Amino acid sequence: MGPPALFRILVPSLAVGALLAFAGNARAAACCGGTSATPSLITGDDAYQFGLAVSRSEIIGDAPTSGKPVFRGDGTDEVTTTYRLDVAAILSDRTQASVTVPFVSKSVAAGGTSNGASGVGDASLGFAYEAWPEWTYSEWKPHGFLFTQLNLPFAHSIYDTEAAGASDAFGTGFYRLSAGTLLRKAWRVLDAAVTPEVHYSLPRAFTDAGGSSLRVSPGFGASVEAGVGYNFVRLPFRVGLRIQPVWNEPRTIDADGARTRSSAQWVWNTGLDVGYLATTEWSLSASYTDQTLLGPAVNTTLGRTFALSLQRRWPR
Amino acid sequence: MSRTLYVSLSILTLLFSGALLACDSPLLDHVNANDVVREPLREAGDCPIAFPVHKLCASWTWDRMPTDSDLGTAQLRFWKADVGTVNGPFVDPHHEVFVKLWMPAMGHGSSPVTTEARVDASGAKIPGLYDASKVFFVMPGKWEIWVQLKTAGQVHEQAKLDVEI
Repeated sequence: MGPPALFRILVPSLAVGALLAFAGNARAAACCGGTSATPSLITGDDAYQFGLAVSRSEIIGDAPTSGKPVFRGDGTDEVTTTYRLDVAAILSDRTQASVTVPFVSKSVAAGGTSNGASGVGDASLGFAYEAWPEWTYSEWKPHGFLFTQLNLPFAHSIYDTEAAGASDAFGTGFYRLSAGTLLRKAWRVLDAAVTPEVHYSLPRAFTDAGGSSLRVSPGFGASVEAGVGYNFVRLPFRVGLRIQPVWNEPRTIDADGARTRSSAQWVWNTGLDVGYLATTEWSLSASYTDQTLLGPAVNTTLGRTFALSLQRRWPR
Repeated sequence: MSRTLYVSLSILTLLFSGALLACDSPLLDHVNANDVVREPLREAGDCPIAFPVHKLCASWTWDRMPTDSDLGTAQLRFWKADVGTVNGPFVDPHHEVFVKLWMPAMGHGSSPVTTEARVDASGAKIPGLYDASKVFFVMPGKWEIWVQLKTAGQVHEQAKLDVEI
């Protein structure tokens, strides 16, 4: 296999690897506070991967349990800026671990009043196994990983918020375990990836600002992300599109001697990614995620997120 | 533009446009908050908020109704169910009064509401009258306003009002 053919395979693979590692986390979160259920993955022949990302997410509207979504008025502004650090490292030839730590700054403005809060958001620990390695080229066999991730609720959530406007509620509030698989394939200039995952949030007791205690059991949820991309041959750029439906089952709440159930949630994330592969070790990505384009959206906030990411990789 | 890129973009554009039109897109089918007319809270009957265990009634009156862009303030009044009315005489409920906002569909509440007993010019507490402030609903939709009677953090009795923001 000569250099031109190798280049046509290698560059898209590197670009896909670099951008999937970031794009999967650049999602607008459904209410209230949220993190990605997929870890930062090393999908290329790298030993270590370090990423810095900044994203800005704005809540555009709210989808009720039934009826049309309501887009918020000009007098309301809810913006979350997240600075995220991702570190991933291989543990063996086919296993890897990752850590993600976000720093969140949230502001809520309503009726001339503005409230804001900053702090560490929910961190996460990830582990992955390269179940389907790509040792030789195949026209159809995908390159695949099995992964699991644990969300650590360091931040306040909507259940124990103390700030006016709930501006300090930028965490999920729950320990959440997710498991899934990443399957990706590149053909010359085109690439595709699919990432199904299932997650379960452990029940947790909260004490609100009024001293009342409640126990919330979020239960299961799932999502499937599918994306395609085009890798420019003469320029080190990749453009990608992705969609991701996300579902969460109703929550069970035990409070003041009574048990209630919320409604299920549905939201569709659609995204556009542009990546620049500066070298085999450095890449820069920009992404846009929108929850207002596709539906149905049920019982959720609707947001739009812009993100920039810088990634550094160390080869094996 | 290469043929492959052209064909790929065309297919993707067609697929995406079809998905947008077919799949209940919030962007294409929504209402704006400024166009939504909300019915004011209408309390029914002689005892709008009933506390049968303590034989009390209460009423909730908005000073400023909250919207998705404005905080709200309200007055709470308590009277004895068998002798009082919404116009008085008002009585002390003999418990701490708390207000909790709850969104049943989402299964969560909102930021804390401040509830304070109203005082007269001398600073003395006026029996049965409370002011609720910082009433903020984190998102529009159907909410419940729970009025709780507590002692040492324990809820002795509570009652709710339904409101749509």
